[in-house]
Amino acid sequence: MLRQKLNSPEIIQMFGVSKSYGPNCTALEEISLGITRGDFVFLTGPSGAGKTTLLRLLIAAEPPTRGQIIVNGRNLSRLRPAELSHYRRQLGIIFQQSKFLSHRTVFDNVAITLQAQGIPNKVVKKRTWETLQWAGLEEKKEAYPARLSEGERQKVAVARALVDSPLILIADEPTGNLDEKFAAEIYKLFEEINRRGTTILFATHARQLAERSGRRAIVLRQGQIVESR
Amino acid sequence: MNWSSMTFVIRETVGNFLRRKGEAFFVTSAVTVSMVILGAFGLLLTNLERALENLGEQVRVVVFLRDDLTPTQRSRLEDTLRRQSEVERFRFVSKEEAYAQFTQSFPGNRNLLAGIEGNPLPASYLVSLKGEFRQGRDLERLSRTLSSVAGIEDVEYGKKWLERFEAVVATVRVAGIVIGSLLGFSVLFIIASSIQRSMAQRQEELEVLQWAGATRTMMRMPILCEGAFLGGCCAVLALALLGALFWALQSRLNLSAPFLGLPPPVFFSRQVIGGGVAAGVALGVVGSSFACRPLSRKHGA
Ligand SMILES: Nc1ncnc2c1ncn2[C@@H]1O[C@H](COP(=O)(O)OP(=O)(O)OP(=O)(O)O)[C@@H](O)[C@H]1O
Ligand SMILES: [Mg+2]
Repeated sequence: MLRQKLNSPEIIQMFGVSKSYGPNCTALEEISLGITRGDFVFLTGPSGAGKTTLLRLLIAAEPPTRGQIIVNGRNLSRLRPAELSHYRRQLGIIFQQSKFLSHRTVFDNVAITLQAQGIPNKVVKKRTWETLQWAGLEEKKEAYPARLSEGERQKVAVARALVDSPLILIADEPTGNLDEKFAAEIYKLFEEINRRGTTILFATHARQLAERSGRRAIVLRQGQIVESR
Repeated sequence: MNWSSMTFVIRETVGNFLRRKGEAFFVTSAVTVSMVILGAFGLLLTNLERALENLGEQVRVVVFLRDDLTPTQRSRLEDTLRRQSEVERFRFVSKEEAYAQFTQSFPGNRNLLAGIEGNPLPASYLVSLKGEFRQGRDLERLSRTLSSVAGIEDVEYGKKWLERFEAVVATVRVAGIVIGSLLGFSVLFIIASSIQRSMAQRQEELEVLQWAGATRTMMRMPILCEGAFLGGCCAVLALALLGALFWALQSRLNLSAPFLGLPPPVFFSRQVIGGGVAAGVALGVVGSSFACRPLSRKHGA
């Protein structure tokens, strides 16, 4: 049974996952789902539905109250602290509100993903530069985050998450406050990276975005899956 | 840790330090001042102990003999001296030698003795002690033993003086330990709280590093390095200040030392200087590792 789970084509699996903050606050209730390797999946639902909570469990920011989460064959509750950093290197993470190193340039902010993994400086420079070009940020590479527009900053967050070609991209409202043009650009970047093999889990309360794309969408409401097609 | 992460860590460390100029200045001066006081105590103690050792070498027990001492009594006395475990060696000083030495040492006072008939100075034994027994306690014990031997007029040694000096050194040593550990703790505390504030300011950076998959070592390293850098810099500064102070005072001390019967003052040896800087670095590392303990809990790294 377990072997079957581990060899499954599903890169992300959740089994009866619940998360509560105190007795009267259940953010997620009995979530079971599977996401196929290489898929591009939307996670939607109204504000407070539990999208961010689900993603936080996936990146091992906190443990679930109940249930098991298996990512790429590894049970997250069994990860030792030393393995945690290596697990996170397989993920590209974009937050609802991304944080940056305010005293570092855009270039350095993107490079940090690679530097944190101890990749040689030459490779870091080359890959960072390629990613900045790919994301259309080459003109901003010497700028500081505080001087960028919201959309540009979010693009930097995307570049930072994708510079090491992660196995899975976990994005929480990456296009939340952006205008149509920027949102479309970022969406295009995601499609491209997905074509190269990265599995994407894209959380947004904008349901029409998911519907327009025709991709799979998991809909949450009050911590439960109400629709999954 | 490879070269890429090392350069990252070094850049972070120096950058963080320089970015907080105001606080860095305050912390550096507070720690340096503490270290200067600590070092001053160390220096004082070093020199006092050196002086004590030096005095110890000069410590002699003088056994004055009665003029009517018989040869048998004398050889028995020599046997007694030989049997004392404290005694390193002894030398007989005859009445004539004592007279000659006296007139040589005080040529102006020759007529002081001239008025007296014959030689009033007694013969004596100069007894040197083994290194481990050059203490007030041992001297007293030996002199008590010898006083009871027949034919001995008197036993003398610089008892009061030596004991007082020993007491001073002991007091300085205790005070040094007490003040030293207090200052050590306060240095530790200052460094730890400074690093804690530095970490609070770098919360975002730590978060970014965490999600990028930085290892615990890599996240802690810049913090430990910052502490080591701070501790090391302060130790070097403190030693330099202390050195300058020492050289400035030295000419005066050098003049007065011989009058007090003390050897000229010395500064710390190279090994001690190296040890001091290493201790500063170690204090910094310990202080900052206190500060980054919450890191592992908060960031699950
Ligand atoms: N750390 C926490 N402590 C207490 N309650 C929390 C915590 N984090 C989330 N919650 C609660 O869990 C529920 C789900 O929150 P979550 O942030 O996952 O929603 P969301 O779907 O991401 O909403 P949005 O679209 O507004 O981002 C909310 O009711 C929230 O108040
Ligand atoms: Mg959310």
